[in-house]
Amino acid sequence: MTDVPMPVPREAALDIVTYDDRPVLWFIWASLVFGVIGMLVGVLLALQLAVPALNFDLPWTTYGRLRPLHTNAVVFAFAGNAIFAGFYYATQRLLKARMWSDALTRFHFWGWQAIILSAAITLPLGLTSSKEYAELIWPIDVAIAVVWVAWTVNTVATIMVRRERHLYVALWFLLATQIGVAMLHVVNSLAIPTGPLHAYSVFSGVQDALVQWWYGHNAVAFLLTTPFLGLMYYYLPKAAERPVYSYRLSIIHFWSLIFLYIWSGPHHLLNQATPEWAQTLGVTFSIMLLAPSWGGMINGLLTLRGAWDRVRQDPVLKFWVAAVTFYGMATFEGPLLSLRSVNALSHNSEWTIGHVHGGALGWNGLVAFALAYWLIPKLYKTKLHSTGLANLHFWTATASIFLYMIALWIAGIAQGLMTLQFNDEAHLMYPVWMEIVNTTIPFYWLRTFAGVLYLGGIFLCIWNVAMTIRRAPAPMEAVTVSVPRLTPDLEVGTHIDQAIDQPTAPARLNALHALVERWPTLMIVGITIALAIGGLCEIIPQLIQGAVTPKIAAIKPYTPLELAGRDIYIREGCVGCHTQMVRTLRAETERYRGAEYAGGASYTRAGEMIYDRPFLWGSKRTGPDLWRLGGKYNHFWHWAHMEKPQSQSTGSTMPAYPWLYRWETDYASLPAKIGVLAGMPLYTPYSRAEVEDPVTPAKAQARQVADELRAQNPDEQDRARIDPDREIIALIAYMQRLGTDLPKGVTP
Amino acid sequence: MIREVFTNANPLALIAMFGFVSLFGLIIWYVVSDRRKHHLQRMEHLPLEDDHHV
Repeated sequence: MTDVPMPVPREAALDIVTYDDRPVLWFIWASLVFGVIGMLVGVLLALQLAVPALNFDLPWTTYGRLRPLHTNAVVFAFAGNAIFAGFYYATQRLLKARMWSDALTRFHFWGWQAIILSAAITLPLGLTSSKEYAELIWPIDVAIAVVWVAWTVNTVATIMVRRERHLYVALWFLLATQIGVAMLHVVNSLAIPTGPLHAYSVFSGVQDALVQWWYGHNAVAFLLTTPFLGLMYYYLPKAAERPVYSYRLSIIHFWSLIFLYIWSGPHHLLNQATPEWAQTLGVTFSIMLLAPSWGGMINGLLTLRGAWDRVRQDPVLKFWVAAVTFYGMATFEGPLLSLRSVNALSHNSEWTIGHVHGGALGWNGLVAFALAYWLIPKLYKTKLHSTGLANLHFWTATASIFLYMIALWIAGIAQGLMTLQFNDEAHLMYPVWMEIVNTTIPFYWLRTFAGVLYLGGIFLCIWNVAMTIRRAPAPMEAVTVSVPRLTPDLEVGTHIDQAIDQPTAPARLNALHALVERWPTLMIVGITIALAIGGLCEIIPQLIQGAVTPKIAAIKPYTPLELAGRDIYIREGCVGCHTQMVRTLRAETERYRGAEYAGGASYTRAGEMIYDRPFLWGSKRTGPDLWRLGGKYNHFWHWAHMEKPQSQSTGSTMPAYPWLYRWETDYASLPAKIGVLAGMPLYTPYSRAEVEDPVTPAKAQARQVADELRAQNPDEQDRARIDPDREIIALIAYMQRLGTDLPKGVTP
Repeated sequence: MIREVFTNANPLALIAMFGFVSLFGLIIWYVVSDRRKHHLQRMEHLPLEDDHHV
């Protein structure tokens, strides 16, 4: 007996199936259009890093507010829509069934675009949760969950009415994507609303950081990796006209990848105030991830055995080969960056940004273009308008990604080395932050050029796709096929007996796995278990807060005014450039000693952040860390700095925030905010008086800060501008509080 | 692990290394023992459009 599954016997009766391909076209267009918008914003951001005047002194065009718009547009709009396009086409053909509900398909399309539009409006307005890749406010988070579930229900229902018993490997990756993202998004977004546009995370400090990076890293896994691998398993064999290299390797690849990925999140929090065991788990699983990642890459590239000559002629294959190669490079770089010693240098630097862009532009972007170039001619039953233009797009895209990565490798490694370097007298070699910034600026210009080149490539793609459609011999027609109906399946026991009867161990394993592939419920349960193990092992201990976060008596909640100031800090996206985490590295404790710090190590303790909702540790330092900022400068320094950063820091690339001097502090929302923080289940220890009336103490503190500021301000005319009710006062109150509790108390 | 095996002859490290190498060996054997003929036959039964093996 062989391990080759026998064909399923069929009845003579045929079903006529008409595929619903219009959403495929819509999603492709949405992906390309939002790709242009997302990358245009990216180019502007790259320019702003070199030329701060390009922030235009307007709130909604500053770097801090636009950065999440760029990341969300590229990840969820450009890559997300490409995923949906690819799977709506593949799912129907793999299952020999039209999508179960046309209404759900349309709800998915329009719902997703509405979410993107909401993000494009709310993020520049400063409405943000500040959690990286999860910045959207709670009502949009709810909408994401609803739309995602609608897609999942539509997919699972289509699987249930399918006319092919076997679920091809692309569908395993699709199911893992749908289950994984739903789980991650719901847990990380858990928050208590204080109003229709604002909420506080149910997690705080170190717990929030661990949950966020469990989400953040696995957003990369289950939105930017597993769906694209699923698409690779479907479209690469199609484009190469070869079967996938190894079916068995795909089994190993799939299960090991989804099981290992979910554990790796804490590698974003190395040398920080996170438990040692969590950091070690993150590093270990990140290194192990190299094996399945490269297994998948090898399976993709070897699928081209015997078809390599066609890569020269076919731009679609060129995009696929480069995309899979960039995937291999990014998944080699990821484990490398997760090593503690490498991470000490690379974390918070441009190297990480270069790594992310290598994956997003090289892997996700090139796959999205390969899909567009393959699907559009297929849908219109014609040839691509211009192979030459597609080839030109390929070469500009590939060259730009290399330029981008090389620029940020050099910039990032230089930043890391300069940050950590000591001189012969054991002092920091580069204590002035601007020295590091100035070294980086030429590479920002190079990255801008690379971004423009990549963006130009998308325009070529749009032109080529539009002309292909325009010159198609006929409008897009629905594809109708005759498909034999499935006959009732054999008894479960018979299947298992047949599998066990296989002559060799690999064949038995194969046959047993074939059962999982034909029983979707088993597949869904298996995926859920594989994902849940890592998630539960890392999340549950964090939730037992007392066990992992030492209490420090001196740490108190933020005052109502400081809380208002913190929400301004969040609104302006300061976390995009400034971390609040002094790592356990001597170079950092030297650089960020803090004004009141009497001695000992000034690294950030987990216990210092138990009232931080959300955590603001950040992941990138364009400016210095701010955790020990409190008391380092007087109020006047901040007053002058926020209005014109270059006045206090020569050559600073920070934008100015003139509106903070005009806008009034939002006292009205304080009762709801303090009420939520003090209430169940957050239990922040505010006094009864503060809960009942937080506005009076907030105004009193604002008057005190304003008085101190007037006393420090030598300019009489400028003194007259100081108004305690302006936002700048609340922000100064918050910044002066940062990291100051610990030195007053007991150092644990 | 490798240092423990070769400098201290730690038996636990030896077992771990043996397990690690065996696991990889097992995976590679599982993948390469799939005869090409069987693989292609199986792919022909997969539902990649029009009953064609790709």
